[in-house]
Amino acid sequence: MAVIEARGLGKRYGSTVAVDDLSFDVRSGGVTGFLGPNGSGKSTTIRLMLGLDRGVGTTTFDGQRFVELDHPMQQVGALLDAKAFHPTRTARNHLRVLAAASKISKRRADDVLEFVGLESVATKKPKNFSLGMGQRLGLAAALLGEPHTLILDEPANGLDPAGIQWLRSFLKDFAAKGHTVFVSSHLLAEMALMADQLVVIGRGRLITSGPVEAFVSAASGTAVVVRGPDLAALREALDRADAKVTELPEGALGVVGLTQEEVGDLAYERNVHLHGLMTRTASLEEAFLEATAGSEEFHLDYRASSAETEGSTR
Amino acid sequence: MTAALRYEVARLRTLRSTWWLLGVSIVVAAGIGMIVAWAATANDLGDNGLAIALSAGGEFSPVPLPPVLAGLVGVFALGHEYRYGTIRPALSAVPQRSSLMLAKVVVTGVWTAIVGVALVAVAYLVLLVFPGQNVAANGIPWDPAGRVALGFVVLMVLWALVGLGLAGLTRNLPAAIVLLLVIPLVVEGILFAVLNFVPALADISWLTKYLPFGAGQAMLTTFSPGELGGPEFEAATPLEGGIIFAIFTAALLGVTWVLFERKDA
Repeated sequence: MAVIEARGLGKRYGSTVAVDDLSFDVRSGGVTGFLGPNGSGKSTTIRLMLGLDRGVGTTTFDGQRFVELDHPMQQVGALLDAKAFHPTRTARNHLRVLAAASKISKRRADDVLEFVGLESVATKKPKNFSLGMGQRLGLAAALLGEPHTLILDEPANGLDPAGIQWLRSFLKDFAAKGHTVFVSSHLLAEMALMADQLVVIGRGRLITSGPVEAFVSAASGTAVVVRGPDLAALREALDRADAKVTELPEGALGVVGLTQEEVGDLAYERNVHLHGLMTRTASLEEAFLEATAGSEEFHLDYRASSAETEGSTR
Repeated sequence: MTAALRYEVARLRTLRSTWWLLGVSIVVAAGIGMIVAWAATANDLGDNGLAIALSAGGEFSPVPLPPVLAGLVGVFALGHEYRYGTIRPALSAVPQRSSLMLAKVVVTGVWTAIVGVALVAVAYLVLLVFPGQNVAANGIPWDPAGRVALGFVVLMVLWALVGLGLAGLTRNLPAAIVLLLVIPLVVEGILFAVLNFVPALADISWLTKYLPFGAGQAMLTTFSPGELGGPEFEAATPLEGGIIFAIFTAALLGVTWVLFERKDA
């Protein structure tokens, strides 16, 4: 059991606000994804949580600030940078240095290296490690103290597909044991498969937090799709029920604001013949883009044209 | 604090540079010991010769090499952490910043003191085994050889801590190394010349003795200013020099400590 409580986190770089009064909880027993556009303050937030960056606000781990934890690596494992190691210190020694500070046995370094698949390079200098190998070494460091909480900043960067799948399975299993996982990622498809809860930020501010299902279902892309030869009467009933209705190709209607059952009942009451009634769930990517629209720190022109294209085909 | 000390000892022990810097220092100390011993076979170098041998060249080196190498050990203690981003894992393991900084100061200081004593011992052993030399026949008298040997060890420690301070101040490994070499070799040299050879500044030429690296070097002095026939300059005594360099080192470390506490990792 470990609960992370972040309260009023804030950080400024000169006149630029990187993180602004950010508060959220991370619960144990599930994977909490940390999402936000580039430059939204995810990494800064994580560093603030661990006391690595100076700012305002507090973060507690089961009621204790990180700096107050006794042997913190045995409680909170953190992966912040993929290549935070001395290039000529062997992978094993890199871990042993960290282990020395945390009353962790030397043997544990070899155990975690084997766990992340780096046992064959344990005595190699990591200067020639790939990004993926660096991530694995960073993950090994995070796991060194057998912590109950993992905080990982973009851990899938540089991993190959098999590595990503391995990471996903591991994090889900780790969380299923009642542990706490807080993980940021740009890989929304991966996050959709892995996360149970989300914390979404934009421009350093909280946009939303809660279960992934709630986040996705709240997106406008989630709609009840109705098909039938003549939906005019149903359309009128839907308008009266204050549902948001959009016309889809081939005469279909998209309904937001009512459940599939409610739309079916309305069709039955109006004696409307249906050929199809289904709920189309927005993807996490659609929900994310909708939630963070306008809060990107760095805009890309193709996004606007892409959105227009999507709108015209709906 | 114990955790921080364990981290720092393991960090120092697992760095390759720790050992090659030690090796080079031993070679230098042994080499200079041999040169002095060789010179002492045909000349009576007396106690000053012994002092010079025990301090790896002592005051006759513009900057004695072992203290410079000790300075690199200090630079690496914090410079590597910033250059390779290991400061964040380090603070994830030891989040109490003052403990980590204190551990770096203590371990760097103790290590370079041990190395300094070892270098004195190596130089003395070389003298003892060198056939025909006449400088190490009567042990190590306190003045000047014993005093200079102690000053040499203190100088090693202070150079190392200055290196640590410069690395923390700049958070940039190459910049810290450049400053470590440029300040004593160039900046202090220019200031020394300006203060002593510009007539308009004659009234403040006494400031010369407060140039920190030069003052530290005074701990290795065996001859008084002017004794060798050159012009006399305002110079610190060995004790004054040690105190001046120690104050400079402490001030630098103090600034570094505050920055380390306050700035982002």
